[in-house]
Amino acid sequence: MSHLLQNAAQLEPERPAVRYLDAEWTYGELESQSNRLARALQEAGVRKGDRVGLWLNKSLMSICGVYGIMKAGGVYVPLDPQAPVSRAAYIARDCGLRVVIADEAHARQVPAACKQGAPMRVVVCPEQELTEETLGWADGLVLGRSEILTMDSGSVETPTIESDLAYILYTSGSTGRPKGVMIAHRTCLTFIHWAVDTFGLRSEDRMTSMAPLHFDLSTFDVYATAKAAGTVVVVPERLASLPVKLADLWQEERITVTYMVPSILSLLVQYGRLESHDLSSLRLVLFAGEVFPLKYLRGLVKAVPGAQFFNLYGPTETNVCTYHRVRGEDLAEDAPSSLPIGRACENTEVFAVDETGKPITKPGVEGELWVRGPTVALGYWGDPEKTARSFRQNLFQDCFRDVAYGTGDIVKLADDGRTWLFLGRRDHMVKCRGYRIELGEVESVLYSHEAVKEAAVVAVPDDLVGNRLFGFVVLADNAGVAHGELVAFCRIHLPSYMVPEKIHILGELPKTSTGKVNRPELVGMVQTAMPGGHGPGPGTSGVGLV
Amino acid sequence: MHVRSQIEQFILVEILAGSRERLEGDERLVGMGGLLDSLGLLRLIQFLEETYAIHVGDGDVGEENFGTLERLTAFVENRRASDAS
Repeated sequence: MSHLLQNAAQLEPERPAVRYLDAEWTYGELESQSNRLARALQEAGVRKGDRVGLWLNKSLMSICGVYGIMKAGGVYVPLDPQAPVSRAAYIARDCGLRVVIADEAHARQVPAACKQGAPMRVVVCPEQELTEETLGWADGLVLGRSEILTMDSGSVETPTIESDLAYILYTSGSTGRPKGVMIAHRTCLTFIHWAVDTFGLRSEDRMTSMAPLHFDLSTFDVYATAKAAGTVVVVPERLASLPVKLADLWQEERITVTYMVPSILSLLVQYGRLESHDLSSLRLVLFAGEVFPLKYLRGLVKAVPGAQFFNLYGPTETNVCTYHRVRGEDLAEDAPSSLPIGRACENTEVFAVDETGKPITKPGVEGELWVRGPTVALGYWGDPEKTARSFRQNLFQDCFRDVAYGTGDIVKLADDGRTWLFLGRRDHMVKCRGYRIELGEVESVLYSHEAVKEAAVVAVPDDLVGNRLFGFVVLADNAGVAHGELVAFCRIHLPSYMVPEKIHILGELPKTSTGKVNRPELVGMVQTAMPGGHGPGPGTSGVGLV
Repeated sequence: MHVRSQIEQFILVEILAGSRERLEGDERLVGMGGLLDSLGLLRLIQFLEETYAIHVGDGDVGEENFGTLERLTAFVENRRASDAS
């Protein structure tokens, strides 16, 4: 994948490759900077296949970092810069991060991560002059800015081939621990080639980079732009919490292509003052990660009438595997309530299997969606069992090895017999602002609190953010917790998008006749307590919600 | 002072979940370098609409009204006064 940058640097050395606030690097500069970084990593001991952490806020350097690691032959592992140290430490332990590229704020957290078992030994801090002393990290090695600048900027001979790993993205795991999805160079390149061809990306294009690097939407922004030798405009963190600023960025940067989760786009429609912006340069709006509520999509199409809109679909394990171009009839008042996920990308096959294990060929029949082709990931890092459960031999191929991934998503065919419609999940995974959340992972954090005897977390569907999380716990005998203590506890262990808004304490959890937690009843209790809820709810053990 | 402390408490307890003890009146709440992310903004808007029975529209959510706790307090107080009149 690093050849995407190398080629662009030969073709368009003077064109801006990446912009962040008022700073920018041309392709020539990005190539040189990433070559220096790659050499520094190699000097720090990084060899082919070594995992290298990226623990920094979005910046020019975050883009440079992915190339530097891949050029050194390493596998990049983005650590959520907003997540608690304990989560970064877990990931570092899980995939053996010995070397990490960090900005100053995160470099300062490395000693704390090491105390929690992270095997980090070298911190590469390309933009600051940091030392072991300033970090209070006697047993580590810090490479600061001046050391990287002394490296040769000429091209690096990269030892990898396309079936080697390029990166590992950690996503929520149902058993309480994040799991690392392994993506090979070929996996991502297949998607990138498809995207550049399908959307006709070219060097005049200016793309946003909205999604953080640990979220797989980012690969389109970074690599499709590089293949097209276009310009990627890195959107600063938190900018979306003032939606009008994001709309300003679209306008001022003359963005032509943008790829975001629907909840951010919905926020722009609702609070971005889009009608007072000149968005005439925007030709392509892509979205993925969750269902786009039609009322906001209609608003967006109205605000950006000149653009084409595409719904892309695919879990991290498959990259994008289906796509659907939004048509007028999808937005009509009598349109079905949700947008199709469409048909398979070229060079990818998707199929659905019904409950009896037969492939679905007729419209209307429900089943689980499976994906096969070169965009399917190699599995979960260090977890062959989990890998074997989801990445299976294609049921309909017994002549050769052919891996298919079972998405867990329930789908059916539309009346045309070739367009897929997404219906829901067959497990407890939900989406909030496009992020995957396994409710079991949040529950296991609650269970780890000493005062908690039983815990359940439910997701309440919400138009703007996808889902809102609410927790319910039963306390251990004689245990007590202060107001807000459990939410604060979750924040220490989970990224903010996984923290329940409220955690209610009940005398007991409602159960079904088979003894399972009655989740629909818990969802009902939350909805009843919300403003505009419908009358008094069923109530449980006489405990109302406060 | 009442509105201001209610909003401050909501942000501190419900959004920041106890990671901070108090907010300065001129601290940046939203946008780059702000305390809230996009989900935090949505929850804040919902809280304001429910608690103060006001409507927050597209044009209201800018730095001039939501930038800091001071501005937000002034916005809510003005909106309540104009809605009541």
